[in-house]
Amino acid sequence: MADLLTSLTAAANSMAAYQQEMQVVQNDTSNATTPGYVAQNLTLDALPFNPNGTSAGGVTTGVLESSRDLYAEQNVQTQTAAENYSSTTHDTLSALNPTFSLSSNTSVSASFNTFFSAVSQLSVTPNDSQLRQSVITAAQGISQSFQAASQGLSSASQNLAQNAATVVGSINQIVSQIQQLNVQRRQTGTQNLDPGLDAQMYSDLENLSQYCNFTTIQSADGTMNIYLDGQQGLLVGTSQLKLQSDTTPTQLQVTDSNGADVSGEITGGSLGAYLQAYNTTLPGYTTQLNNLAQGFATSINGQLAAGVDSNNHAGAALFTYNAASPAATLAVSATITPAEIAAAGVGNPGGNDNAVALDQLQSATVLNGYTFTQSYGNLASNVGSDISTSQNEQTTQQSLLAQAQNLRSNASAVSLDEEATKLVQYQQAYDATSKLINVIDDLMQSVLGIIQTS
Amino acid sequence: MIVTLSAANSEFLANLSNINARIVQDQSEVSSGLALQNVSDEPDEVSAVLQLDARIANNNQIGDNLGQVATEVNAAEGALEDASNLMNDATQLATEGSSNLTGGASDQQLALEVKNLITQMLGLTQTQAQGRYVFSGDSDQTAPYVAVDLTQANGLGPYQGSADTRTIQHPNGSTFSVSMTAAEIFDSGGASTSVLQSLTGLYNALNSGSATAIAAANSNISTASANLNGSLAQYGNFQSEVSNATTYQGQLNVQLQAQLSVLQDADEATAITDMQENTTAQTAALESHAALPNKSLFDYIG
Repeated sequence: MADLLTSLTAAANSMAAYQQEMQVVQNDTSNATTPGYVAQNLTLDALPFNPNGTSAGGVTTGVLESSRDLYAEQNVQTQTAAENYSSTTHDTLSALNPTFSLSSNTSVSASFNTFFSAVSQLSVTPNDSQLRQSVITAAQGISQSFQAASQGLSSASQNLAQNAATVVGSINQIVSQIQQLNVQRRQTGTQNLDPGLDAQMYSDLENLSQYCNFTTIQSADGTMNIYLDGQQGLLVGTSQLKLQSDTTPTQLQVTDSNGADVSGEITGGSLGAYLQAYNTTLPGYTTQLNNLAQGFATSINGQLAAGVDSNNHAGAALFTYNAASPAATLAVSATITPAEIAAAGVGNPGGNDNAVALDQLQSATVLNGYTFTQSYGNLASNVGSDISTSQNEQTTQQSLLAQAQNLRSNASAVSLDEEATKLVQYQQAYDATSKLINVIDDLMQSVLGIIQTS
Repeated sequence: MIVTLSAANSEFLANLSNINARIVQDQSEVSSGLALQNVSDEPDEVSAVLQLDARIANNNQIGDNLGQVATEVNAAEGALEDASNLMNDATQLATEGSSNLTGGASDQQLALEVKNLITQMLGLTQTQAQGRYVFSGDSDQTAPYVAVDLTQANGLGPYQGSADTRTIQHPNGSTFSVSMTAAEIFDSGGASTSVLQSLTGLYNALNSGSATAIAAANSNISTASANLNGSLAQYGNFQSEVSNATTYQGQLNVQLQAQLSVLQDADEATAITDMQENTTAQTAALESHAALPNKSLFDYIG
């Protein structure tokens, strides 16, 4: 009778263990699509069993194990940062396509063509005042084209600074959320790590990886520490270091709350892309554009100075600019008149020598071995090459990110089929154990019947 | 173990996005006829395309310039033909004066006719094309000679224009001259070679009635006429050069357009084929994704 009671207790305990297993299956199934959630596994431990003694055997639940693969998580975070870097770079640079349009009639290269056509026309009838005015009008077109291109680059920079500020705000918000999770994890401890808190933590980390590159180290108390590449701590335990962005005349900076510049440590994610574009890529384009504007204006003014105008005076400068920002400030001299266009050569007033020489500048390699159009073409080509490269990198990174996500899914995602299999397995075990209880109950009734009849 | 839906979906969407981008690019190429529309399409070709655009624009402008120059050269050449005819008339008058036995009043009458020739020659020196004096050199807004003044050796007074003439750009990058000054054509050298001086000399000889002077003037007229014909031949050369340059410009334009087409134009057949392939790929991707198993073991439990 005592053995039957022991078996009954063991069976009841086993059913309780199966109920817990089915709870885990339920939780896994419910969170199959929850961001950051990974499959949980509740181990079953066999209890001591000795049919000759007092150990009735049976089963009990062990620890709740997470299937999270930390390497796979880190790989996804790394690839997410890289993918967002390339996609943000591509989006940023693609916005410059209209600025360097090949089909626009108002692009710098098209304006060059219009200007030199006007000069060429003037070279045939150098004393025609209307054609002289046409040269001035075409020159105004060039200055407007340079200003528009410069404005396009400037606007792109302003957008980058605004976007960077938004992203920095998002980073601070996500790190703040993780800080709150750290507080809860510290309270629960590592032994009782809650799968829900864990899912929120890794979901936040994956979101954070969209914006910047970082590394994580989990402390013994379960809190997650987050460091930028240079080991600047964004979050250490429950202590958060907030970031802020700022722009100087030439640089976009990300500083920590102590004012230290941490821009150099952010090389990935959308913030890394914004920093690279603002501080390096766009200034490079601007420098090329400025060099071209200055070189063009200097060459044209120099050639005009070598000739004489309609009144046999030395040629006046056609273009003016501020050397600090030639492209943005390139303009036609406010005082020049059509008669002051020096179409003639010195000693040949009324002639076209200088107009011809001016027109021939179009095909002259006066800027480091390139023509004006070639120089502009090199700039446009650089922009196009950067856009194309970023597009290729984006495609590659998308593929790498997908691989990383698949790897993580294979390692730790909830499989509905697997959960269903477990459910069937535990249901069968539960049913079998309950039937065993019925049998024991029958046996006990039989025993009790013997007592009544005796 | 199966992958989670989120990972599979994100990969599917990224691939679908890439297919859609390729379709848009193909469609854009087909509709525009251009493979190179943005600087990012073929970055290595951008500079070459822009340079070709510049060369074509420059070449077309030179073509327009040559058309304008041709008008001026033709006007000048016509004027010199008329001048040559005037010199023939002068030769006839000189011959008539040389053979005039009556002298006196007849020579005076012939002198008046020579004066009329000088007046006509003045008009020819003032030939204009498109508002420009074609024989004034660089000073094309100034008439080369102002009025008849028979007290002057050349009968018109000093040349008012410029000694220099314009050069015109050839499509091959060189320059060439297309005009001569009135001084070079009508008044170069001395009395024996200058058109104007020989006519004035004939006028004076006829007025003097000197048979010797008239004979000498007749000889000068003949020599000056030959010089004038030389100038006329030179203008024929100018016409030929302008015509050759125009032909060259047209051929160069075809070459440049062909080079630009190679770099810039879309291969329509390839673009259409690519678009068809990508459209098929898009359909396949959508259909295959829709056909993915959407059931799990849970659907068969219970």
